[in-house]
Amino acid sequence: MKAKQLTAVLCAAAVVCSGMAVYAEEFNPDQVEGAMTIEDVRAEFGEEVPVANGITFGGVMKSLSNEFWRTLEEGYHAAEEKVQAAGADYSIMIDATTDEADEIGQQTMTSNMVNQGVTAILASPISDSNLTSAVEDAQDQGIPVFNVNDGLIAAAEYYVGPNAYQNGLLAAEWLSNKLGDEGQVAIVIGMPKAFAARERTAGFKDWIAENNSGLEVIAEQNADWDRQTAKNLAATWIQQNPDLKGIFCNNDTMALGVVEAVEEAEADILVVGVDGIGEAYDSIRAGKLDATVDSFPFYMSQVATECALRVMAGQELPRVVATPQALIDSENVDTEAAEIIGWTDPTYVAAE
Amino acid sequence: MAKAVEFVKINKRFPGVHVLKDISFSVEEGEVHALLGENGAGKSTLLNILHGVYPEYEGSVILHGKEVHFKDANDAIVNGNISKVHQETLVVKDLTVGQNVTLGYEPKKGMFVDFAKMNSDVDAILKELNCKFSAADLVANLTSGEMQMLAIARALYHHSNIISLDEPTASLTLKETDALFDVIRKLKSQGVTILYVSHHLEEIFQICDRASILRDGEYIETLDIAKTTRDELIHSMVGRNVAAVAGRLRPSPRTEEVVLKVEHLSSGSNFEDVSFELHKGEILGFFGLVGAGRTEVMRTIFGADRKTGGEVYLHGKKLESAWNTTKALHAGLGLVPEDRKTQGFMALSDNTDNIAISSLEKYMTGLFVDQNKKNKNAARYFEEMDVHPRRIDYLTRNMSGGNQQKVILSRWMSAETEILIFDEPTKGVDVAAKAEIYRLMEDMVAQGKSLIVVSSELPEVMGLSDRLIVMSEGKITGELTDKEQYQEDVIMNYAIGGN
Amino acid sequence: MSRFISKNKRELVVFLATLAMAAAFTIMNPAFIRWNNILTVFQQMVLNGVLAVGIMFAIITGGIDLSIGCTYAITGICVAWCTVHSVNPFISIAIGLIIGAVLGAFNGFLVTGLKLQPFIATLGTMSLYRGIAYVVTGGIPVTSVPDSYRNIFNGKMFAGIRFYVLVMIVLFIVAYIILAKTRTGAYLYAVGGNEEAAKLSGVNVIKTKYIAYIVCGACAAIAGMIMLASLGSAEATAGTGYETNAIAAAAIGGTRMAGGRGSALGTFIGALMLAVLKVGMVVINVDSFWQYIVTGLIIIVASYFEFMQEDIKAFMARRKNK
Repeated sequence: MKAKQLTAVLCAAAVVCSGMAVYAEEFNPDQVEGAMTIEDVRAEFGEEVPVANGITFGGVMKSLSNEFWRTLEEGYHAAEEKVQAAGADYSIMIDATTDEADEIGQQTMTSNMVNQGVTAILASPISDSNLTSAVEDAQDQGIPVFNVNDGLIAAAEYYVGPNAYQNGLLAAEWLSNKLGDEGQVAIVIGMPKAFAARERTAGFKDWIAENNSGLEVIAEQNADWDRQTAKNLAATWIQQNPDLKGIFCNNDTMALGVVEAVEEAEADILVVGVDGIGEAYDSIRAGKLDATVDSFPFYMSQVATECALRVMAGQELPRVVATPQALIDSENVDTEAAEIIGWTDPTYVAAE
Repeated sequence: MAKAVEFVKINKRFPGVHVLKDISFSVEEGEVHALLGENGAGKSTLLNILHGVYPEYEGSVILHGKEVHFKDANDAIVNGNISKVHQETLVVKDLTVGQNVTLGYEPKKGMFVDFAKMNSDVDAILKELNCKFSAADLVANLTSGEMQMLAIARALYHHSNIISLDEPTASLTLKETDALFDVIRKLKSQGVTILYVSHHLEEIFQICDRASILRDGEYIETLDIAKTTRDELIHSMVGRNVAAVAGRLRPSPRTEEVVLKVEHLSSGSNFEDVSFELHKGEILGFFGLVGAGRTEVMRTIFGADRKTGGEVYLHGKKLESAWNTTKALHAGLGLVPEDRKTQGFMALSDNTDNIAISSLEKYMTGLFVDQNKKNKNAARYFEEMDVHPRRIDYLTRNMSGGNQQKVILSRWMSAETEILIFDEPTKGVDVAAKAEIYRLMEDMVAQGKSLIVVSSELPEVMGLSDRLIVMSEGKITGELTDKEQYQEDVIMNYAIGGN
Repeated sequence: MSRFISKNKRELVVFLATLAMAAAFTIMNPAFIRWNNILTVFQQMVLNGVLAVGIMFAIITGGIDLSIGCTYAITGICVAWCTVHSVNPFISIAIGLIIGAVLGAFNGFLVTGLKLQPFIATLGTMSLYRGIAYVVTGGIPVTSVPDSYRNIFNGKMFAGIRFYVLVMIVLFIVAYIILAKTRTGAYLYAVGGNEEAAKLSGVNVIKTKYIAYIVCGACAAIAGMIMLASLGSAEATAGTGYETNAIAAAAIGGTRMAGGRGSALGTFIGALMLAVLKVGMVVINVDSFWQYIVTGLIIIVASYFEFMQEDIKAFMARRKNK
């Protein structure tokens, strides 16, 4: 009787959740057909990027207290210097919110840039919806909007960012190789509402399912991107599941917390994170964290700048351009990022 | 004459207490009927049953010959035409008088409130009550007397023919009280029945026709006021003879030694240039109408408020500028505040803790406060002051007014305070407890303590004090150093600011 | 004994509810009751417990401190910096305590000196302190904290129990003694019970409030230092939202939000209940979405216990009379 009721409730919940999922799948850059990598773009449209005079981009970002976004910002400025070095009259102005929850503040920022008449907007929204009205304003004035990394602006013409789904695939593949394709694994989710968390988790699980892998996901729980929470979660799992062999975390911060739990339990468990933050690299060098999937924000923003300039020059880019990413473990942790992803700078050509 | 209210064998029990025992009596139509008894006698409980606040009780309530049983207070007002005007009138301060009077039953025009009709209806009632304010005024601007009138207007709006008034004059000035009595007489002439609860016996003699007396939850008797003396009334309420008039039973131990000297003390707009002396063994009276600034002077001396000018000397020593209540306590100065509930006791603390809070250093064993010592101390004062019930573990808020006052007195006795200021010491205290508090004051001066008694009850300050200072509008307007000068009209003249 | 029961009725009810919850988890997964898992429960209640015991002091005086999560982060960062720069670990801990006390005292100043509403004042310092944490670190985590420091809290004593569990228990005992046995405790309750009456009884209200906020800040600092030992690194975002869990633990344990009531024992049991719930839901693998719902419901039900108790008492009395 009780079980029946519970089942009924769970079914209802499942219906609700699947409803939400359907809504969220309206636009999913990870699954869009015709997506290109930057190499594809260069192969198709040529290495040269013509830059017209008087271009000013507006970069809208999330909290610079987060290393990821700081690195992204550095990439924008690195690209700016390279374009200017080519003699072009180009600049980018960047604004960022003080924390990762100030949705309205970010919208105001975007509107301000529209009002100042920037040539294009490169936005990394806090949520899937907070910039919607500002983006519509921009488009009304003929200013194109490039969505750089998540959240997702369905109305934006272009999306430039990593393939979060592929983050999960890479992590699963690596774990499978290291574990001889068998054993129990668990997933520490960021916030379930976050696109990146959903996609990374889905990629990880899909890889296991599609490859008939011997890996078995025995638990997946949410840790709010918080290091201490992730550590607590892992500690509970480890002492409940002595056969646990690997833990995939939706980001590095949580992975670093999980590593502490693994060390304390003196357990033999592989931990994989995502993001490739500096601390994760240090931890891999120290032999604690096992791997991370780096999406190279420094190059992501350079790709974004390049793509936006190409669009300005009239090239018809696809809706989605995937930015480089790679799995980093002890073998390639000291290799230069440019070498890992085979990065070369494009040739910017200034207008006469 | 027909009976407006009949109580038949009313019994009411709360968990563990039998608060009303077989109460039966009746109230005639169109009379002003007093309900008397000490605190805890059951008056409020009986009124709450009558007005539907306690829907669960045994026995029956008959109104105009018909048995009624109200679901709740609203049911009583709307369907029973019976209203209660509470001690602290409940109003929404940010609304207008009209909105408050009609609250919940506003006249409507279609879906919307008909404000024009609301105001004209309410103004008609207010005119009937001789009120100077109108329906469109904001309640926040009314005096407490006017709010009392508002509550009566609300009762009339619901066509109440039975109205209970619970301590209606507690916060009214003399003028407002007179105005209220005029209204009561007018209502009576229109056939409205009034139930009147008050501790002020003078008022009972002024306004009431008959009085029913409750004691310890039992009905004692109903007396015809015209044929009853004050002492008979008190005897019936208390069950024994008490000297209810404030007066000194022993000669005054007043000495010439000055323990407290106040010079040109001022505090912003509250009061200015206040100077006086307090002698050892003296009871110094402070009289004035509500708002004269007496309370503010005492709070400033005690360190609860900041002074803006002047000096205070304690035993000849000037008080430091950063004076506060903690320093006052350690210097042997104490204050029994006017409003026990908001200023006197900690609502969540039991009697032991409420007594001990100002003298914790006395109960230490090593670094820790010793519960046994605290209990012993509380028990001692409970015995000495005859506090009822003798339960040091009860929450103070559940005690009656007089006993709460004794708990607060015990606090200052425990702290061995030399100079104690009483602000309205017998407000809301019943007759018997009043007499006991007067006796305790005499005991205290006999032990060499010095007291200041602030009161707006003229008989109280006249009876108690060795000397009397009168304040009006923030200034001292008169000082009477000799008991023979004590004349009501002289004092009242000072109090209204004349010479 | 019966006196203990009657005085701590609420605490006992919450404790029994916690046991019932543990029993339910054990039925669903017998592994819940293993010693190692019980250890996990105690270890995971530590941070919230230490924060809760501190915030309870502020709440008892009728206040609140929303900035504890930020004090926690700042302390973690500063102590991490000290230890990484070879400051003696014990001196680092002393520095951490001073930082917590100073941040708490500033809250005390806002509440008593400027007479701000505690909710608003600490809402302000919540943002202010978080900002300081970002500015100090530039958003970069401080890492590589030496084991000489980490072992002080993170080391094991016996039966796998870590020192920080002992630290928490000692803190609760000290809090119990302060609240139940000292003058300061009596003043704290008096100020929360009726501030004006306390002032007119000669209680130094300002000093008492300062003590409450300083204790609160110091507890947040201790929690931050335990976190640092446990993770080996500190970052500016640490502790975001932790104040809500601490308030929940105090409330479940019977701390009155308007002040004047609350006990160390109650708050301990409140924190324990939340930890049992959290670990239990992980052990039986409750979906993340549902954990929010269950946690919320439990907090509401637990806080409602008191009212239910009153109702039941009145109901029984009525039955008896009829």
